[in-house]
Amino acid sequence: MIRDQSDQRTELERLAPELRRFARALVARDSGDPARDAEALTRDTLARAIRAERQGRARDPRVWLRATLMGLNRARLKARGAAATPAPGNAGPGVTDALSALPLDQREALLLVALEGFSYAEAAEALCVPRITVGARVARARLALETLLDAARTVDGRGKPSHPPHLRLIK
Amino acid sequence: MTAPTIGDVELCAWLDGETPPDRRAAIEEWLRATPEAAARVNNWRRQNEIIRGRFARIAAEPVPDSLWPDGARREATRGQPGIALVNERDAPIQVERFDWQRRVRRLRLAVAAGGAFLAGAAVALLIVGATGRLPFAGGKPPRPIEATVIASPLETLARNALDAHRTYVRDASRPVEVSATADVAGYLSRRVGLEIAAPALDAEGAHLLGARVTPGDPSPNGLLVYQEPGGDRYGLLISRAPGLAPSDIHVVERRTSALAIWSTPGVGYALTGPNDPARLNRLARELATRSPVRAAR
Repeated sequence: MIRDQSDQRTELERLAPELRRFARALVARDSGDPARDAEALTRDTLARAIRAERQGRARDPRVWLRATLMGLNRARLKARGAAATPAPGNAGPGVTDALSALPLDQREALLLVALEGFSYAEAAEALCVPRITVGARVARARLALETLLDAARTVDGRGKPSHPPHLRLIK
Repeated sequence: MTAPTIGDVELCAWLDGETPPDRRAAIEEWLRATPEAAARVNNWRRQNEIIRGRFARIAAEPVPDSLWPDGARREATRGQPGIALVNERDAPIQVERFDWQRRVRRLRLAVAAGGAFLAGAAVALLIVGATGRLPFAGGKPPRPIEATVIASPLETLARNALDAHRTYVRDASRPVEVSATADVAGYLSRRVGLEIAAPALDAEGAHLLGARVTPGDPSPNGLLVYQEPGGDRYGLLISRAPGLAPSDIHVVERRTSALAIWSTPGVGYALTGPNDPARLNRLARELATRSPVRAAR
C-alpha cells in the first residue's frame, strides 16, 4: 500500500473551499478589506497545511485547518492592534455585520458549530478550550445575535422584533 | 409547571445534537410545554440558515489558484478531475474529487499492455505495480512500463473489487466458499485481520449468500456476496489498508456494473453490483452506517 503526498493534497483540495468560506465568515467585516484579508488567511493556512503534511501530521485535517486559520487571524488582529471584542453598537443591517459585532471568542465558536457543522468536541479541539466552554460561547453568541439581528430588522424598518431581546444565560 | 427550567445553554446543545441521550426526552418535553423556548430554538435554527446561506456561495466556488502556494496546485485539477479505472473492455470511468491523472495515464498504458496476458499474469503484474517487486522469481520478466504503475490504495481496491465482481460474484455456480449458514464473520475476521461483521441486507431486499477471501495486500481482502430475489448480486469487498484516510462514498458507473467505494481509517470498502448507481449508493450508505468492521485486530 502506497500512500503518498498526492493523496493528502487531494484531500486538502477537497477541504479548501469550506476553509475559504470559514475565513470569509470569520473575518466578517472587521477590517477595511475583509475579502482580501480572508483570502490571505486561507492562503497562509493552506501553505502551512502543505508544510505540515510533509512532516506527517495525524490529526483531523478539518480541525487542524480551522485551528491554524483562527490562530493566524488572531495574530493578524494583534499585529493591527485591534481588540478581540469589537466596539458595540456599530452593527449594520446584515448577518455579516451582526457577526462582526460578536466578540471573537463567540464568533469563532458559533461559526465552527453553526456554519462548519463541527461537534462541540471538534470545536473544543480547534479552540483549545473545554467542551463546556464551547457550549457556553455558542449560547452567548446566539443570544447576542438575536438582539443584533432584531435590532437590524428594526433599523431596516421591516418590522418590530418578534419578542424582546434575551440576554440571560441560565446555566 | 413542576419541571425545572431548562436554560439556553442546554437548549443550544439540544439544537446542535449535543444532548446526552438520557436528557433528550426531558428537553423535548420542556420544548413542547414552553412555546417561548420552542420559539427561541426556532429562531436559532433560522440563524444557522441565515449564516449558512450568506456564505454558501463561497464554498461552492473553486478556490482561486492564487491561494495555493507556488507549484502546490497540481495541474491535474485544472484538467479533468477523476480517478480513472480502466480495463481492456470498458471505457474509462471517473470518480469526482480524485485526481491521479498522471498516474492514470501510466495505468492506462500498463493495462493496455497487460491486456494481452492471461488473468494470472495480470494479477502478477498488479502485484508488481503495487509493490515494485516481483512476486516470485523466474518466469517472464514484466515489460518495463508495468513497473511504473503505482496505484493509490483506493484505486487498487476499486480494481480488486471489479476483478472480484467479474470473477466470483457473477459466478453462477460457486460465488462463495463459505456459505452464509457457516461462521462467515469469524472466517473473514481471521483471514483479513479485522473484526468483521456480516451485515444483513434483508431489509434492503438482498440476502447474504456467503463469503470468500480474495488476494490482497497486506492481508487478503474479504468478499461478502449478496443476492436479490431477481438474481442480481452484490459484492462487498473489505480491505485492510493501514494508513488509509476516511473518505466519502464515491459511486462509479461501468457499462454493465457499478462500484461504490469508501473508506474508514485503515479500512477500504467497495460495493459492486449491477449498473444501478442510485440503488448501489443507497446500499453503500446503509452498509457504511452499519459499519461492517468493528475494530482493527
